[in-house]
Amino acid sequence: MASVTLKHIEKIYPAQDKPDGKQNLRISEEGVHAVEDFNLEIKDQEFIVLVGPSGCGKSTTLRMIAGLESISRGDLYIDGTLMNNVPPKERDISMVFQNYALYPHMTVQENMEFPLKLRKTPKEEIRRRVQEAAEMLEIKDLLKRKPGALSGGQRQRVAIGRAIVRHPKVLLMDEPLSNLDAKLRNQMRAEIIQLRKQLKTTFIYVTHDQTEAMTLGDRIVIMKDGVIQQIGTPEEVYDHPTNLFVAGFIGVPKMNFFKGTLLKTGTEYKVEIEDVIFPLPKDACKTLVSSGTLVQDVIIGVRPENILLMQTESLTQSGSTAKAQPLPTQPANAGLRALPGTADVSELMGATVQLHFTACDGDRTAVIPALQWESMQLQPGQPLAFSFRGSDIHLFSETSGKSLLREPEKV
Amino acid sequence: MSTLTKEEIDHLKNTANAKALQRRRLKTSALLITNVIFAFLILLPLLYAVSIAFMPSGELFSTEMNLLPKHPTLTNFRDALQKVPLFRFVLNSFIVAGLITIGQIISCSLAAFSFSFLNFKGKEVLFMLLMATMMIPGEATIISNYLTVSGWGWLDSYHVLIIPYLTSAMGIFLFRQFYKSFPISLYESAMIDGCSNIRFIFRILLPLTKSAIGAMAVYTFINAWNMYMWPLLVTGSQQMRTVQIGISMLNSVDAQSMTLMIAGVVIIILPSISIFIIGQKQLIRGMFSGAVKG
Ligand SMILES: Nc1ncnc2c1ncn2[C@@H]1O[C@H](COP(=O)(O)OP(=O)(O)OP(=O)(O)O)[C@@H](O)[C@H]1O
Ligand SMILES: [Mg+2]
Repeated sequence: MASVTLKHIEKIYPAQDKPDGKQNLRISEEGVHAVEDFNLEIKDQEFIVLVGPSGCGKSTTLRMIAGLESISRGDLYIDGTLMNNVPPKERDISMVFQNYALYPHMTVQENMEFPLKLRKTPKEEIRRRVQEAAEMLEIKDLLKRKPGALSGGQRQRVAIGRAIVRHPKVLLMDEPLSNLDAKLRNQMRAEIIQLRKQLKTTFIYVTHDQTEAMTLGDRIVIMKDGVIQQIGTPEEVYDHPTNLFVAGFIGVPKMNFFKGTLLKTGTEYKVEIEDVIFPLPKDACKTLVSSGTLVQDVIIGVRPENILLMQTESLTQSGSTAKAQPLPTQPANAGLRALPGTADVSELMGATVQLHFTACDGDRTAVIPALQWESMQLQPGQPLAFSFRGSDIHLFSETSGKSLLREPEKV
Repeated sequence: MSTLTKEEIDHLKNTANAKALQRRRLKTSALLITNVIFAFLILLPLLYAVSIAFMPSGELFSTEMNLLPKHPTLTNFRDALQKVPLFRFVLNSFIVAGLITIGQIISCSLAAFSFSFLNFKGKEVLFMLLMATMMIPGEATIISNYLTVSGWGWLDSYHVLIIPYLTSAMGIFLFRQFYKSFPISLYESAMIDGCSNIRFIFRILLPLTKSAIGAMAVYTFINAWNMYMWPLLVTGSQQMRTVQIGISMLNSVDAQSMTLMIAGVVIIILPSISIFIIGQKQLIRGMFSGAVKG
C-alpha cells in the first residue's frame, strides 16, 4: 500500500573491516562502498526483486529500507515521507528473514500475535487477523506448536504469517526460500505468487537465484559489486540485457559468448566469427547506425535455446567450410552459415536436451528438443555444426562489455 | 563342518552377544569404581570435617587414628551457636549475597545488552576500558574504597556491603559472551515488529538466556558468600558480620577449640553447598551453552 523511492542511496562501511579479497567493491578513503548510487522508484503494490551474486549488496540495500542499517548517503522515501532517520518500527514495514527469526519460546500463535500486541491492536482484531493469515498459509493446525517442532517449510510459512498479520505498507523478504530444498522451494514460490494476489502490499524480495527473480518479479533489479546493472521486467532483462554481466547472469543455461568482429558496409552491419559471416537484422542495423557504432571487436551472445544444431555432411570434412545441412525436423534454415564444433556430454532434461559442446575455443551449451536429439544420434566426440539466426544475436562491446543493440538509456 | 544347523548358528550368535554384553558391563563398572574412588578422595577433607564436628574435643587430639567419632556429640554445634550469633551471620550473608546477585544479574545483563545489541559511538573503547578494570586486583582498590565509604559515613551497614558490588566487569563480560551466540536477527525482527529495547530484553532475551542467568546467579552468589576482606574492613559490630568473618571469630574467642570451629564451618557451608546443588544443572549448562556453535 505504498510507494518506495530510493534516491542516490549509498552504503559505505568503515574501511577497517575490509571485505575478503573476492569482492570488487570500490574502496575510497571513506571506506568500502557496499552500495553505490542506488536509484529506484517502486510503485504501489509492485513486486520488486533484487538479484545478484553473493556480496553484491542486495541485503544491505534491503536492510537500509528496513532501517536496520543506516543510510550513508541519499534519500529514502516511503509514501513520499523521508525515512532516513525513522526507526524501523515506525516505518510500517515488515520483513521475512532468511533464517526465519521466529521467537523459539513462543508458540506459532504467539509469534504471529506478537507484532499486533505491540501495536495495541484490540484482542478481537488480533484473533481475526491471525486466523486469516493462518488460513491463507495453511498453518491452522500448527498454531499451538513451538517453532522447534516445525519443519523448515512450516517455519518459513510462520515467518511469512508473522510478517503479514500487520498488513504492512511494504513487505521485505531476504532470501526467504534459500534454506529450503528444491521441491519445497518451487512450491513456496508458487505460494508467494498466490499470496501476492491476495495481499495489497508492495513487495521487495532479495534472492541470488535468477529463476526466482524471473518468476516472481514485476521488475528485476540486477546488482553487481554494489552497483545496479539493469532494472527491467523479466522479459526486458532476458531479451535485452544491457551488458555482458546481465546477459550471463539471467537465463539458464548460461548464454554462449563468442569473440568476433563487427563489420560495416554502408548501412549494413555483419558480425564475423572465425571467418563465418552472420548478417544482422534491419532493426539492429538501424540502432547501430543511429548510435554511430564503428567497426570493432565485439562479443556475440547467443542463448542456448537459440542455437541451431546441424548434421555435418561428412565426418572427414571439418573446418568452417563444412557444408551444413539443415535437419529435417528444423524449420527451413537455408542460407544459414554454420560453425564447426565437437559434441561433449548431453543431459536429458525432460522435453529438452542440454548438449555441451566445444566450439571456437570454449565450452558451449545448446538446448534442443528431445525429439530432434534422438534423430541426430550424436555421440560425445563427434563433430557437429551449429548456427543461429541474426535476430537472436546479442552484441556487446569487447572493451566496455556494454550492449551495442540498446538505445542509450534516457534518464 | 560346511553346514551349520540353525541351532548352532543361534548358539554362536548368543554367545557372541553375551560376551559383548559382559565386556560392556565390565567397562561400565570399572569406570564407576574409579569415579567413586576419586570422588571419595576429593571429598575426604570435607567428610572428615563433618566427622570432626561431631567429636568431643578430647577425641580429636588423641594419638590413635580416628576418622569417625567414637562418642558422637552435638555439643560443638551448641557451643558454636552460643559463642557467636551464627544464625545472624548466616542471615546477613544471605541478605548481602542475595541482593548482590540480583543486582549484578540486572545491571550486568542490561550493560551487556547495550554492548552487544546497540550501536553507539565509542562502544569499543568503553568496553575495552571496562575489561581493563578486570586487570586491577580488588585488593589494590580496597583502601581507597574504604576511605570513600567511610567519608560518606556508610560504615557498618548493609548498604556498604552490597552497593559496591552491584555490578561487575566480569559479569558484563560473561553476559556479553552469552549474547554473542544469540541470533541478531531475532533482535532485528523484534525491532521491526515494533518492540522497544526494554520489552525485547524482558520478553525475548531473558527468557531465552535463562541458563546463562542461572549460571551467573550461582557464580555470583558463591563469590559474594565467600567475600572476606571487604566485610572485615567495613563492618565492626556483631550485627553486621557475615559468616566468613564470624567463623574466624570462633577462632579468636578466648579458648580456641578445633572441633568448635569446624562445627561452625559445617553450619555455614550448608547453605552454599545447597545453592550449588540446586543451581548445578544450570551452572553446567550455562558454562557450556556457548561452547558449541560459537
Ligand atoms: N558490517 C560490515 N562491514 C563491512 N563490510 C560489510 C559489512 N556488512 C556487509 N559488508 C560488505 O558489504 C557487501 C554487501 O553485503 P550484502 O550482505 O549486502 O551482500 P548480499 O548481496 O546480500 O550477499 P548474499 O547473497 O551473500 O547475502 C559485502 O561485500 C560485504 O562484505
Ligand atoms: Mg544477503
